[in-house]
Amino acid sequence: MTVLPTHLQGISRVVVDAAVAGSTIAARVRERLPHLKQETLQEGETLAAGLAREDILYLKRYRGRFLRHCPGTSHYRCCGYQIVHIGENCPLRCSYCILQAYFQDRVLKVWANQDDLRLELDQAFHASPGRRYRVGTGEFTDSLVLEALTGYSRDLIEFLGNYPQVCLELKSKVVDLSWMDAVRDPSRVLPAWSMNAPDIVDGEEQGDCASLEERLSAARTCAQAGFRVCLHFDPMIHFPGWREGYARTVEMIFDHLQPEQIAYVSMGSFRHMPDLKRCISENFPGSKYIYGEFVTGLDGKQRLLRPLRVEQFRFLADALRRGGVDRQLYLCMESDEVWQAVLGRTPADLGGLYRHLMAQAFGEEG
Amino acid sequence: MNKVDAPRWGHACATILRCAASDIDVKGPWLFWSAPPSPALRGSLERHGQLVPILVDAGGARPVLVAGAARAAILAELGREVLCLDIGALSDEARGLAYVQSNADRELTDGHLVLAMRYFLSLPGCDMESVLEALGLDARSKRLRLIRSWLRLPRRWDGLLCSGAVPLACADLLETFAPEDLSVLESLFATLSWSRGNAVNVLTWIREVCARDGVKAAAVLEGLGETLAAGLSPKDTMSRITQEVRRLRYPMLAGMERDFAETARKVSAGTRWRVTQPDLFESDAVEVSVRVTSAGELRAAGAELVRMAAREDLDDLFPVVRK
Ligand code: SF4
Repeated sequence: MTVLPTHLQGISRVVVDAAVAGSTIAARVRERLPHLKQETLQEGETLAAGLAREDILYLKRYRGRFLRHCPGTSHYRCCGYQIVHIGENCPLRCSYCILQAYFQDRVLKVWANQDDLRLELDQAFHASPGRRYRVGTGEFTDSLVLEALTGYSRDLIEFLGNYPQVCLELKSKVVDLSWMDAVRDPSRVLPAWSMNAPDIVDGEEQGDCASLEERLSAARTCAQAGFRVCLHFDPMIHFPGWREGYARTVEMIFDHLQPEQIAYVSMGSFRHMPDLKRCISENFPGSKYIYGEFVTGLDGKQRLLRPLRVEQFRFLADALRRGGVDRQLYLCMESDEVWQAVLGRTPADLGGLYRHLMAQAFGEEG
Repeated sequence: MNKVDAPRWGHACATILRCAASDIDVKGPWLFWSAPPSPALRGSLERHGQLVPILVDAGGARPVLVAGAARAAILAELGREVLCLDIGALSDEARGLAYVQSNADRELTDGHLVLAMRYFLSLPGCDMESVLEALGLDARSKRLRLIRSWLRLPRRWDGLLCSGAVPLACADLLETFAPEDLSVLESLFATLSWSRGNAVNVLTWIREVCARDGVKAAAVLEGLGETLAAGLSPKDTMSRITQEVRRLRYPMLAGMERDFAETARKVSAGTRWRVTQPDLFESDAVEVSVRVTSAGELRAAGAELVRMAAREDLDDLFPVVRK
């Protein structure tokens, strides 16, 4: 029996909707968690609310839309990527994670009706022939955090291998490369890791996230196998010593990767609604960065005061540019004013962020 | 003749009796809302006598006052006998509930509710469901959540709540402070009555500065001593304290606002134009506005605007771009 990664060893119950009890995912989970008896929920039954603080894996028949637009806002530039919704919640514990404001329990939901997902994606991709798609799964969960149990990304990669117009990004904070040998064309899969200053990775990304070194070594393995990788500095955190921290991370990036092996690098400053701040102060009382100078942005979210954001972005962008990463840089949910101040260009100069990132994803720009 | 309706808390038969005010035990802790008698009640009792009996439990050696403290106090002063309704032997919980019911027409403030809750919660095995019902509190309401937070504060804060100096909305903020911080914070409320919004803001900022810098509230309030002692009006004192605490919490923003206000004043001096930054510097926008009531005023404002636009220090209005 293979040993499960530490972040999955805390799962104490497996619950399955009767409709997906016979699914591939359910069979895999049975095989990989043989010591846990699967509890079946009949049609109409729901998992009781107010669940204890234990990790419960819930294999669910999902009835909503699997393909969604990223929830951008009108005042800031959104990157226009689409979400393939494969499940919700995450067993890791990043202090800044928005999911703690969305989900009060620790139920790890996996949409096990993959046939429905495939059907919907197939219809969507056929509906507009010639259109290209940049999609990712890491919005309501980490793309690979449950991979050792479910093999979900591997299945998705095999399926999307039939759609060369689709580029899939797998965004993660763990290292799981078990999906690699299922890839037909490495140019259509973008493995992506979250980057942060070492102090933030060590202090704020709790719950067995991979270290920065492990993430970058995995990125190098992917790059050596012909993949281009994505790096996400989101959320950047303003803390004493942030300059040294982010400079060190950039150094580590270029110790592991060549600029041309990087498809794109995003930069986003920590932003939050009041609910998230309350969750952080309760769940992570040692996290002081929430007491930075945050003001209400044009979208109603709290954002770091603009000159502080610009200073941090500029510092990071300059360091990355010195290493040879430039066109790949973009800002997540920022205004043209911030783009101009940080990168000296706006999304319009790049032909629009959506088009630019699409081209980057499909390897058409250097 | 002297029989009354059976109350739900006590004996089937309540009886009316008279006794000397000095005979009545008026020290019961269930009289949690007792306040000095009003002149109106005093006048009425003097002129018309006692028209409504007070409630007592006359089962023991002395009648024990259950409700009607103000009337009992005035009648004692006037040296008159007191008309009492004996509602029988009651538990402390039932006395409290009878007291609440006898005040049923009173609008209950947050202070009243806190005092009542403190009493009932101190009684072992008290049926809180009945208490909440009697007090008109919904078990899932925000008000009750805040009251529960308030009850974790030292009792001496109850006085500040009852006097209106601190709003109940501050309860969950206050309970996050350590006891020594709370003692220091009392000085902010001892002589000032804060609005809900200002009190919540000031306490939030103080708490966040403490958490951010790892300091005690005393260190944050150190610089405010002068403001408190400056002899300003209460309104000005609170406004100054709010500004100063905000500056500690948001030093860069406060600095930018101050610089902008200074520049805006300079640029628009001698004109009727108002120059403001609308969105906490999230954009480069500056708003320039004027209010006119005639064509002549509009023409004059136009000329002023032209003069303003010719100034060389206009770049100072766009501090982020400049940086
Ligand atoms: S890895 Fe991502 S989804 Fe998981 S806790 Fe961290 S931020 Fe949240």
